[in-house]
Amino acid sequence: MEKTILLRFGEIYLKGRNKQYFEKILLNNIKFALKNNNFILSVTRGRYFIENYLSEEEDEIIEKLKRVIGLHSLSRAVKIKTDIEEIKKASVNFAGDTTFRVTVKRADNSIKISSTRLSGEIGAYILSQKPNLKVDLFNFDKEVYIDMRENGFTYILSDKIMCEHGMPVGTSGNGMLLLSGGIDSPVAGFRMIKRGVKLKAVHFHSFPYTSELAKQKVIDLASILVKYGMEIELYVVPFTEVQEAIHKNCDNRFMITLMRRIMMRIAEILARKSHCGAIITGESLGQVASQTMQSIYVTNSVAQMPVFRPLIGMDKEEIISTAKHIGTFETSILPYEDCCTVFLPENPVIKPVYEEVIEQEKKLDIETLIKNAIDNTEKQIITNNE
Amino acid sequence: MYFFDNASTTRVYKECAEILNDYNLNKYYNPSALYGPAVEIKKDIEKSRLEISALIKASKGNIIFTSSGSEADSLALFGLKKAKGSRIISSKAEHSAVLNSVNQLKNDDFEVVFAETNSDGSVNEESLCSLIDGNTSLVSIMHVNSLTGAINDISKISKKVKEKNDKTIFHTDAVQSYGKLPFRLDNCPVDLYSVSSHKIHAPKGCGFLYVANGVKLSPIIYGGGQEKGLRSSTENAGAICAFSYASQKFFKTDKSCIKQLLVKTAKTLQENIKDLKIITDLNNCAPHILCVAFKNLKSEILLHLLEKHEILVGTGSACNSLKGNLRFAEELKLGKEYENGILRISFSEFNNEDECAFLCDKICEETSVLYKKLF
Repeated sequence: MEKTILLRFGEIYLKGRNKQYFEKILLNNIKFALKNNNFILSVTRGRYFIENYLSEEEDEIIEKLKRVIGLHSLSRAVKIKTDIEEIKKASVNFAGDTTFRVTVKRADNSIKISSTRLSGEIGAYILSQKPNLKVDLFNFDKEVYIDMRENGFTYILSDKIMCEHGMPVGTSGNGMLLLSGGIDSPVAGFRMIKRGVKLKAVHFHSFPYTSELAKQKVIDLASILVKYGMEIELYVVPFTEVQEAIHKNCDNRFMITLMRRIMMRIAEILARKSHCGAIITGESLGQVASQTMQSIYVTNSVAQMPVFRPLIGMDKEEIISTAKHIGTFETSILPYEDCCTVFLPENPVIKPVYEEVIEQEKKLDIETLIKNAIDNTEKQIITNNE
Repeated sequence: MYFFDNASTTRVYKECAEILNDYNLNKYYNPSALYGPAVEIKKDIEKSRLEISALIKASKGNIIFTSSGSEADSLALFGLKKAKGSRIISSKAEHSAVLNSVNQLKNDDFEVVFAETNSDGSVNEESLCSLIDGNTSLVSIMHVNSLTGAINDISKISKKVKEKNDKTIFHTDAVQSYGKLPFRLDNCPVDLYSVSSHKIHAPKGCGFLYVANGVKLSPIIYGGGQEKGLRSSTENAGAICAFSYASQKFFKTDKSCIKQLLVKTAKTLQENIKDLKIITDLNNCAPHILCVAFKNLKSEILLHLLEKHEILVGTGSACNSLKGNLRFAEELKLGKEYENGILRISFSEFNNEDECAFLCDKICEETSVLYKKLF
């Protein structure tokens, strides 16, 4: 009897002729997630098995697999040679302590007994060993799932452990995430990772107005996201000069709008350079002054690329709940400021008018500001070292 | 580096580093072991205890070595046997080691009340005395405020506390005053007295709690029963001996030179920076802490700008979060335009006049550029 983990994939089931492409990437991602563990990955029709791993690493492996996007669920299982007596003995441990049912799936035609009869026989054996248990075909506590494969092996499965679902990372291309230190942007990144996007991220840093700790916080957030997203290229853009220029030359009430328009332009340049097909932001409609429909219109209009805003219709509570689920919340709420509040006006324009913003922007040498920022951008690769 | 954050920690005396090294490499035996070399180490620890006792005239009590000032505070506040529901008095200007501990005691059903703070960060004695009642089990007031350097007259305050209720136990966090202000424990009724090693050029990882005879404590760490059963853990002999060495050297050092640097820096800054508020009361402060506030300026920005010139300063107690600082700024009633602008410059014997002149130059230069940029 050998321990194995059975993996089921989700949405890529729906794919047609290009299914192989998605599967290949998913399999690579699984291997990448488990790169520090010893195991064998075997593939049968529609299912994957992780085998030959150290049993003391099983929990760790399962935790890592739960974060592989594209997997639907997994189950701990045992693999035994197909032999009815052996199967009966092994099944006892899977029946729990209260109610159970036995389900047999028989792909192996050499066994001549019907699945239903086999279920009954195995159930009876379990009851003879554990007389306190009860069979309940509908309201069962444990399902003993017995999968008899064509290859002469049988798998007995325990409960389903749900994974993150979604599309394998890398199957939808690259996206450039605007990553601040707040709660929302990591969640936005996660939502897009789940749609198969490989993330790159850009952070705007305002030293000395914000500290090195604020930058470290963003690196920490990216390090949490890579647990789902494989690897993130992080671009840290010095933004102080831009903020000082706006502060000096423009009506301060437009500070945020003007800042966001320049951020968007820089993000797009970096996105093109690093082969991204979209920009991703954590905006949620109406949450703050820069996220009103009018503000989004004015900032969006500088971008040629599509801008994905996966949180646009989510409220704060939903966002926080995802942030807690993926483990970014605790880091996001650390008190280092992400975007310097020194320059923030008491009364920002909430509904900026496009023409007025353009007038303000004329007071800036946008091209030079952007060029300087891009020239001094630092790039670092965040990888998952688990 | 120009290090002006000596209230957060200090550079270790070279001799202390050597002592520590010696204990790590040669005298590493467990002091509780029965063989000869280990017994010698035990003797070294006891010698250190006596040396430190002599410096603070601790003849009416015992010194319990801990791993830090924070641990000493926790042992005092949580370890003290006190009646459930009784009153505990402290001040909101306390270091977080005390403040967070008393807040925890509040959750454990003690009645926790806070005395008011004066504008220099010292405790308002009148307010404090008015809070003491028959049900007060513990008063905890720091000796020197870690952000502003303000001195609380602990001798006087402890006597006043005992006059109002002689059963009340008096604790002081002396982390910022130890060796910096003349003080003796034998002529005032202080019951519990916490100290940290690394503020006086000794290595980090050591501290002590003085416990007056008759004060009943329970341990907060259980184990092998070291330190009279009050602080189980293998003794950190090297750090303890280095701490004793540093104490003796530091107590002998002339603090008036440090105070002169502080006063001169304060005056230079005040003369050159418009609207600067000197929070520290120069007539009633520890020799090493100068606290100022800039108008409409976030001091963290200035901290980073000074960093570029290799000057290191503090924006408050490093153990406090930024939020904690803001809370304290409110306590000092600085006014909104000053509350983000608190900068703490703290000195040691390793600073000199030239360094201070350079510091003042750069603060003036950077603030003037910054004010021009921002306003």
